Amino acid sequence: MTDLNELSLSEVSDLLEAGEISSVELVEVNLRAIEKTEPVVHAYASVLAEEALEAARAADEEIAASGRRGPLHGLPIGVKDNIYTEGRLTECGSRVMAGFLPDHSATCVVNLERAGAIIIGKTHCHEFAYGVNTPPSRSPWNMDCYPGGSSIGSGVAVTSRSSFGALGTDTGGSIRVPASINNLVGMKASFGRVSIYGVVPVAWSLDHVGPMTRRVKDNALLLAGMAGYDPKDPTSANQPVPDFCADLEAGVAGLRIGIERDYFFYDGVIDEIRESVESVIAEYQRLGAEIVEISLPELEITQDALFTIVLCEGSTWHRKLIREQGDKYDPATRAIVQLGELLPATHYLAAQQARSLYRTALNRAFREQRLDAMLGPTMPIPTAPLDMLNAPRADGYPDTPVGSMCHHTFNANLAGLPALSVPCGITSDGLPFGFQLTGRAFDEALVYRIAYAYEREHDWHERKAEIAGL
Amino acid sequence: MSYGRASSDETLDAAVVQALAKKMGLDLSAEEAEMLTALLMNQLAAVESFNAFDLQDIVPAPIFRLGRVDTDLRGASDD
Repeated sequence: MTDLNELSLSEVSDLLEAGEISSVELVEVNLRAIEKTEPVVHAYASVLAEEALEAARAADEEIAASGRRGPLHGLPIGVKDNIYTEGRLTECGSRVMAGFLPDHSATCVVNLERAGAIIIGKTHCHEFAYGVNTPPSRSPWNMDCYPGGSSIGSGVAVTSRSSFGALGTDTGGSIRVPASINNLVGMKASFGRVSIYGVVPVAWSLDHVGPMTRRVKDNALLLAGMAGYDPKDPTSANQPVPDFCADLEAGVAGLRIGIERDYFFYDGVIDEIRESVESVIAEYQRLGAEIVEISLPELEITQDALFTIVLCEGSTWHRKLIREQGDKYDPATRAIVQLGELLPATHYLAAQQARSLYRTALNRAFREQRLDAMLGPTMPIPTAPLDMLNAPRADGYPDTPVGSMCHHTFNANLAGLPALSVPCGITSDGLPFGFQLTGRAFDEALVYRIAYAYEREHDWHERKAEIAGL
Repeated sequence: MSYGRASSDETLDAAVVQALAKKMGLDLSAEEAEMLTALLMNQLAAVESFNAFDLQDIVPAPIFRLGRVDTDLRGASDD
């Protein structure tokens, strides 16, 4: 019999639709996988076994009586622990929030539960999603290497097959980085596409919530379940939510894909990733897309701009907590929070000016070159050993691994454009990596379509890491 | 994650940073003040990279939007 955990979210959804399996079976197989893998990978901050089983029984009864509400009805998913879940622990990876039981759920969770999805557990994240401390989660791809962050547990849960899909948050790459490292598809949609109401902020003007899955179609289904205008969120966009799967199989013939080589293929990109992403570009050309070389020198200021904005906005949110409960913060997080308070307002505003400059330049490139997407490696390196994250890079490139990891992801948060990481290779050391597609505002459907055209020609998404000792 | 960039040889007296932080209600140990000072020197250098471009007449993005009745933020669709 097929191991259900090995199927993708959309595949088990089809089986549920056909009446071949039940929601209870899906929750049970996920729970068995959790029991087996958690002692090694530590993806979950809390597991909601009884509650998930109860919800699955209710879903099965409802489906038997009146059919499914939609493609997510009866499907278990994981939720990052910085996203509010009513009456369920939301600790944000911090002792500051230990034992916190929100009195409401984040709008994205409300939307997903309304669509019938079942929360099987809350996944680990770096403290307050800053990405500076070290949560216990480990990736089965290499237990000694950094599994990505800050949506670290979501990435590990999905790649360990203890979840069919999970929610992450992304302020500078925290969905796409762990997606790339764990051989997953990860989407940071357009700013405002998914409500951030009920998500503990890192930086209000950069925060996004999004799905992490094994396949493109899974991702599109989850995004559709989360998205939509939310009057409770002042950054929410009043945009219709289309069927992101409607044109998934339409191919890429005639589409124009921009390549910015100076930035996305700079010297810090390792050869194996460079060559693989070049072959992705060649593949798109073979499939009928037009490759357009573009130049965006403004990309060079995106890292400094994003860091400055994150520090200032984040520290503003933490002002009260850091004074009242500063001793409960991890020392590395506390230092970052204190740092943000000491930066001049002029630096924050200069960073926002730099952001405006970049957004304008990017928009002009999309418009004048009639681009449908921009493509490059998601990360210049696959990952790095946990004890070497802040050391000089082993290959001699003058940067640290942690400094390199977000080189390609910050810009999409500044621009607010949809950006998707898609698996496209595994290094000779057995470490996966992906390529990133950046699309036009609120055209996630086209980004998924372009990604799917590649995915259906390859089997990277099928590759799985064996967990040592199991 | 290493916030900011290491680009400056200049130093700031950690005691000054400690005193400033105290004025702002943040109590730092001497060790924390040393670490924060190093981080601060690096991060203050971040704006130097912006000097490669002329930002003089650019209105910062969020300020521009906060003044609008419609707070719908659309990324690069509106330049």
